[in-house]
Formats: sequence, C-alpha cells, structure tokens
Amino acid sequence: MPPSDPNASEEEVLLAFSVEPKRDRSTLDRYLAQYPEHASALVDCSLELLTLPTEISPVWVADSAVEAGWQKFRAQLGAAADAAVESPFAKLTPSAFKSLAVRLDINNLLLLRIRDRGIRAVSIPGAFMRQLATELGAPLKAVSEYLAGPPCLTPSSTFRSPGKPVAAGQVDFSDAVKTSQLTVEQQKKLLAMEN
Amino acid sequence: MVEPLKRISKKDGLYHRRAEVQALLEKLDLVGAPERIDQLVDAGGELRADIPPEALVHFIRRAWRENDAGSLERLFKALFRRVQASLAAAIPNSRMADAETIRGEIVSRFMDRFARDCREGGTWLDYFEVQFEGGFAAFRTTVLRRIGPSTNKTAPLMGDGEHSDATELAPEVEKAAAEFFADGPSFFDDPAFRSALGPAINTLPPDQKAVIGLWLQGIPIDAKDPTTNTIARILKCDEHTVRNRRDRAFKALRKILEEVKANAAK
Repeated sequence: MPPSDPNASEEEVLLAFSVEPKRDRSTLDRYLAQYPEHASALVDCSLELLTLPTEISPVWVADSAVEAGWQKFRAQLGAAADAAVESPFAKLTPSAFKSLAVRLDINNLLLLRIRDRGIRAVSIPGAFMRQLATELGAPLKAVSEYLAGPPCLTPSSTFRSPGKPVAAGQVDFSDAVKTSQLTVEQQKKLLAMEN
Repeated sequence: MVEPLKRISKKDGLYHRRAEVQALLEKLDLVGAPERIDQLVDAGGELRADIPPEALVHFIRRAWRENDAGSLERLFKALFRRVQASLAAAIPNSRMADAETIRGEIVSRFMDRFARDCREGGTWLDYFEVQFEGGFAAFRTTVLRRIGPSTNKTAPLMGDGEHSDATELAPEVEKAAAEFFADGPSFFDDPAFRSALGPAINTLPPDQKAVIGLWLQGIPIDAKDPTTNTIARILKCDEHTVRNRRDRAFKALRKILEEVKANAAK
C-alpha cells in the first residue's frame, strides 16, 4: 500500500477515486486506508458514484443561460481569450499542416514555431509572410494580426513544466531558421528573404 | 496527434483514456475542425448521443491551446448544456431543498475550475478525459459538502419517536426486509434495478443513505477482525444502530423495489 500523501486535497483524492477502473469494495477499502482524513468525503463520493444515473437525457437550457455561461467562461480565460484572433491554422488537419510546410519549403518544426507565435512577427520577412498568407488562403492582414499576438502555450510547454507553465519567449525569424533543423539550402533561402 | 494525458497516478503511472475514447479522438484528429465539430455536436448545440463527454473535454482543451476561437465557443456551449443535464439527473428538485441554486453554484464552480485549468495548463482536466461522469460526481461531492443542505428533502417515513436510531423496528419489518434483500448486494448489478434505486436512495436521510450505500458496495456491517473496514467503524457508530438504519432504509425503499422486481419478472 503506498503511503498516504499528506498534501492531497479532498478534491484530488475524490477525483482519483472516481476514475478508478474498478469501483468496488477493495478500491474503497484502499482509499479509506490511504486517506483516513478524507473518509467521510470518500463515503459521500462512493454514494454519488453508486447512484450515478445510468443515462443522461438532455434538458432544456435557455440560450440566454448558455450565452451567459460562455461569456463568463471567456472572461475567466482572461485577456488572452479576449484578444484571441482566429488562428488561420485552426482549421488545418494534421495532413494539411504537413502539406503546408512542404509548400513553404520548411519543416514542421519551424511551422509549429510560427503557428505558436514563437517568432517575433516584426522579424518575419514580408515575402515569407505573403507566401504564408497565400498558402493558407487567408488575408495577409489576418495572418499578420494573428502572428503579432502573444506566444501560445503549446501542449508540450503546457504539460511538461513542473511549475505553473508560461509561454516560451519569442525569437527572431533568423534565429528560428537557424535552430529548426532545416537543411542548409532551406536556411539560405529563408535568410535571403530578409534582404 | 492526440496528446497523451500527463497526470500521474501514484499507483499506476500515467492516467489513460478508455480505449474507445482514445480511438474516437484519433479518428476525429484526422479531420478538420468544422467537420469535427459537426461530428461532436448536433444542430441544436447538444453533444451527440453517441459521443462520450470525455471527447468534448479533450477538444475544448485543444481548441484553447490552438487559439481556435470558433471551435472553443461551440464546444464549450455543448459542454455547458451537458453539465446542466448531468446535474438535473443527479440533483433533481425532489432531492434537496433549493436544488436549483445548488446546481447553479456547482456549474459556476466547475466552469471556474475548468477555465483556470485551461489558462494555467494544468492536468486537473485529465480526470475528465478518463471518466467524465465519475469525475463530475466527485467534483459535485466536494461542492455539496461545502454548500449543500445538511439534510435531504424527504418526507418523514415514520413518526418522530419511530425515527430514532434507538427505536427498534417491528420484527415483521426486519423479516420482510431480510427476505426481500436475500439476493444481497449483487442484485444491485441489475441495470433496471440500479436505475430505479439510485434516485430512491438519494431521497433517504443521510444516515440511512450512508448505511445502505456502503452495504450495497459490499462493506460488512460488523466484523470480528479489527483490520476489516465495516460500516460501523466507517460511520463510527455501533452495529445495532447500523442494522436499524439499514432496515429503515429497506422499508422506505421496498415499494420501489417491489415495482422493479415485478417489472423484471414480466
């Protein structure tokens, strides 16, 4: 039996309990032994799980309530959501994303850094920006505005950080080109666009 | 690519989605956002009946990470409706006083927590990609313990004197209950029985609900072995009190059970 975690909150313990693959006496026994300080909450939770409805039927919810919920959620997501500009990359399937990289003659890594706004927009050569907008089928202004936004929390930076994650800093286009494992020819071509 | 979950279980390592959920995510990963939304959400904005809510949670997190504002709004609204439906089933107005206010508070706190986890990139939402209804039941439990009413909304089953733990039930009631539950907790595995009994258990007073719930999970009322978890030890009361509460719960539930058994026999 693993030792009890003195830092586990009631909510954490109950959530872990609730997603156990087996909801039976042995699981409840194990949690009660491991977290005696949360015994009462575990019993309450086990009863909630025991009486879970077998089927969830849709209920009528007023559109105004849904809209109010969305507006509140959006506000809670913070300034990043308020400033969110529709990403011109959002509708690309994984294969379309790879295909775009091929058409731009870059690799997926550099395109990911561009998509996640890890490159300062002002340092991206105009020729490359125009080519990107053309290949995306989006107005140049929309692409420029999107890339001028703050860097995104990428899935990797989101989950691998031991502490509160922050978006990685931005680099200049030339630095990104040199550090994205591109071929020498690709680097030359992209860096030439800066002139 | 479908990102694996990152939350770590102390016992088993990384958490994993259920196989059918993972397969669905991988299938939807191959299509563009507009088509994906159509496969997740119907024209009325509801999560489609054949789509598990775990998939909705996954794609909301992803839409946020990828700055896909259009998908984020449509998927969030479907989740909002789904959460309301879940709460309406778990906390109907008949269960407790002021149920509507309590449901509203739970929704509000869940959305706060959901937004915070999106914003900070935590792993709390991983639980909801593993088992949405279970995770939401756990979340609901923590909120109910803080803000819920101290008693369920239930009509007294007996007079005040009779309701006391110290008062014995008539022997014929105990005998009838024992006969009725002769099949033991395994009878609870029957889906028809379970779906009828769940809401009925929620109408019991908390002390009886705790006893019947633990008994149905196979916890013994008492045991000679001091290391065995028993209902009496968990609830910190004596065996006699536990049996009394169980038998009172049996009596209250008997009418519902009889109807279910009769229907099952047809």
